[in-house]
Amino acid sequence: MSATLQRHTTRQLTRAKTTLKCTSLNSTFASRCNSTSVSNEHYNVVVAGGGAVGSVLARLLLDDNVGGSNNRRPIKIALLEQRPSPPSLNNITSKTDSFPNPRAYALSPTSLSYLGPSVLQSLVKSNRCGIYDSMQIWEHDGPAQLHFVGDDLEEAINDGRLVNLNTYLDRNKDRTKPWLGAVVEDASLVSAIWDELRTDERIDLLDNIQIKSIESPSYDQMGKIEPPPHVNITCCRHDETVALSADLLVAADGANSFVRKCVGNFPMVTRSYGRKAVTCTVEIDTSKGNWGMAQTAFQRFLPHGPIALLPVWNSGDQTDDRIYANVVWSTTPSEADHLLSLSPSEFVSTLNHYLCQGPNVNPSLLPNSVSSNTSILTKVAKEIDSLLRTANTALTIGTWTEAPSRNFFRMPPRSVGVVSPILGFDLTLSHVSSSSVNGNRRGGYTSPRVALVGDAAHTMHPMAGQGLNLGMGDVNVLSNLVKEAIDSGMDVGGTDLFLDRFNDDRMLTGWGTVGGVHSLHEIFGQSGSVPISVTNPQSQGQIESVGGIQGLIGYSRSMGMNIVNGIGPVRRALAEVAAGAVPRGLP
Amino acid sequence: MASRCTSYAGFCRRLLPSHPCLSSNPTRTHRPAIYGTTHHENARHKHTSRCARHHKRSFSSAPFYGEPAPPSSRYNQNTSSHIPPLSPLQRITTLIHSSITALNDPTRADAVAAVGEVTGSYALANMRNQMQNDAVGKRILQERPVVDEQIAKRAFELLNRHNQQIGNTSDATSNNPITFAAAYATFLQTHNFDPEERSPIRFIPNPELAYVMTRYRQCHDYFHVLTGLPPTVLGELALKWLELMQTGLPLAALSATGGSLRLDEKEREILWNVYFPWAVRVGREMRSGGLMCVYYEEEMETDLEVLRGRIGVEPAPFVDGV
Repeated sequence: MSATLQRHTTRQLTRAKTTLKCTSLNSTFASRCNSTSVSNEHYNVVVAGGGAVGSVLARLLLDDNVGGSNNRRPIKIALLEQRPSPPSLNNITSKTDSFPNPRAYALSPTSLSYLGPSVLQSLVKSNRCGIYDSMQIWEHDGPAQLHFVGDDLEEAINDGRLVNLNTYLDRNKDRTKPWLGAVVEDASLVSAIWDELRTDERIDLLDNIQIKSIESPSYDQMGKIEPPPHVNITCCRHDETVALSADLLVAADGANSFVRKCVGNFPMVTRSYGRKAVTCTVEIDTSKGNWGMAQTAFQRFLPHGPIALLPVWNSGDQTDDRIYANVVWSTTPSEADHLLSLSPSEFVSTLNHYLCQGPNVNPSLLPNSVSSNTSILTKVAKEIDSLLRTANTALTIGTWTEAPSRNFFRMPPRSVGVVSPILGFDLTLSHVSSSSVNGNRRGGYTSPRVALVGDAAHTMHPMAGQGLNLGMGDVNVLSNLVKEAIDSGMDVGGTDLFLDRFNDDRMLTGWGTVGGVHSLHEIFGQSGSVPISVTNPQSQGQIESVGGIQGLIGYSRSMGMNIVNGIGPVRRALAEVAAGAVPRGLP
Repeated sequence: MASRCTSYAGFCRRLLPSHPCLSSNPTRTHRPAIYGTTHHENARHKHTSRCARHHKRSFSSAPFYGEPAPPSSRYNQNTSSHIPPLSPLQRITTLIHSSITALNDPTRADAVAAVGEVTGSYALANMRNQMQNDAVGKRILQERPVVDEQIAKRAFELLNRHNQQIGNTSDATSNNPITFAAAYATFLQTHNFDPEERSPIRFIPNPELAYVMTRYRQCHDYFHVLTGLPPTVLGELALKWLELMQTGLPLAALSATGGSLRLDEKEREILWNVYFPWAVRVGREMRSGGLMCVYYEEEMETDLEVLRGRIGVEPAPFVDGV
């Protein structure tokens, strides 16, 4: 793995010589622009991309409560969005025949706090949050389960290491249980934030805008020319050329970031998971009462990836008796394509079949060839095998934890229908990398006057729901640094001071998260059983064991999950990491 | 009716010379107590021969854990109203000693019971809390009903009445609902069990928790009736998984784990493919602790099917050829 990374890094670095100027490759748009030049407007920060990450960054930059200075100086920012500006949240929620959009994110409590009280309140009140205060994770070929509950975060909240979201929502004083997170649709999230941004005059919201070229200072110019040249952005908007300049350009324009490619100083490490995710919104069966979903996030690990069933639209006053859930099913591309080709009813029955199962017994640790052998050694091995597997099952069924309530396995509710289009997308691991040239850093999250945030800098497997949360961490750190710079009267991109701190912080966190999720992917990819195939309906029966080292890894993982589930401090530490709490012992 | 061990032969307690366990009666047949905390089994020939082997190993020569020591005055049964608490060291040594004893000789119900008592305090406290939060469970804790000869007598009366009713009806094949008591009496009769033979509590100082443990042991036969599981190794193991889900007692887990070693391959397959999914399904559908919060003594005349439906117990699947 490390060798691959190295190769990627060097190859991309050679390509990523310091670029002075690059123009849009997209000539069709360029031809539509006539050459009317608008006066060169200067901003402190220009955010390219008005999606979830970009708009939250803009919101944090404008939030006077963020950052520690009493001496608040004026800030001027621009938000560039290629698409038309999103409708207001009221327009979205007033549509009565709508259903939850499958493009949704799982946001941790820390990320939700970055939305600010008013945005969060409007999302909750308009029933656009899928709050979950418990989470059940289990596997397909073993008994092991992990149960996280909101109470696991109580300690962190009391210690002040994690934000208490209930203080953001005056209305929900009765809801005292801490949230593990909430699922928010992309469209509702962006609309709610734009609603707030529209009221602020320190920000220029430029929609329908196409970046044509970016002129950023080279590494050599930094520190030699005083003050260092600004970053100049030429855009096309309504057939007009718009020229902007900024102290700092932030690329929040997604995984295929145009800014990143255009500036070109950002070598990326990419690695395909060989997996594709299928996502849609389903309606949940409420014939047995509507407690089935009950603010729980379910995730079952299959050998090729997990199926997640996440609650959506449950934060309102429950006037609607229909209950929806968001499905994210990661699997191999061939199986994903098979799922995408299914009719909605076939998809629902396949989903129910693979999700509503468990807990099982671990597959045999001995390969099938051993069973025909009748030597005494085989008999002893079989007894030990049986003992180990039974013990692990007993550990699960006993559900011994220090928690006041025993967390039994809960069967996820069955789905009755698909209410949205079924979407598929490929999963890739990517992260920016950096190297050192003559003792100076090249690449990473920043280059002179340019910073990457969110998917522009990293993408990962959705199994831990950390993709957007990592991006939210990026924008939180960056907004604090920008404010620190502005409040101290400095040019945030003019020195390495702030951007290096941003890079150092995010490189550590980013690689940690991406690496952690990747190792989860690898660990859960090991299975002691022959992978069941979605495409072949004949194979939906018994689990066949392969035994050997794979079986041993699968068994250890299973046992490990059980032990983590039983040991409170370990389980709480995991829940805190996922919630984005400050680790114990840090200031 | 065969006898069964009721006292604990640890280093802190010794069997009386007159105790049936020491009488070298080779014909006694014990059900390995690890499969259930009550009575013996005489239904299965294979099983009996296994027990006989154990019996020989334990008593033909001195067992490796030593000769039974004289009973300590600390655990005199006459003063069982007050049980002194165990220190952590005593608890651990008792656990190790009784586990070795029980593993060596599964017929030793007293040792199995001791393991259950010294490991179960956390689960018992949970069970008590569940019962206190339940109206019926609370009443059981207050009134403390016990299973004794009276109950059995009543059950047999009800069984007789039931049989008379069947005799009165001309059509013998008509669907005649059986009451819980009649089913219980049939169970006792078929397997020749005595409802009163149970190990006394020796290591749980809290009287309320001690009662919960007693109640759990006594209700074990009721669970057999409700689930329809026979007291065979396989049946006991299936019931143990359900009990583990319901009570969370580590003893149930230990029995289920250790007991599975006594199954052959075919039985194991049946256990995992039929009985285990059944136990998980039933345990999940039922609310936690549901089995313990039923006043079985008051349900004697209730229809078995009605009672099953109310508690949420689905009868165990019947597997042919076992």
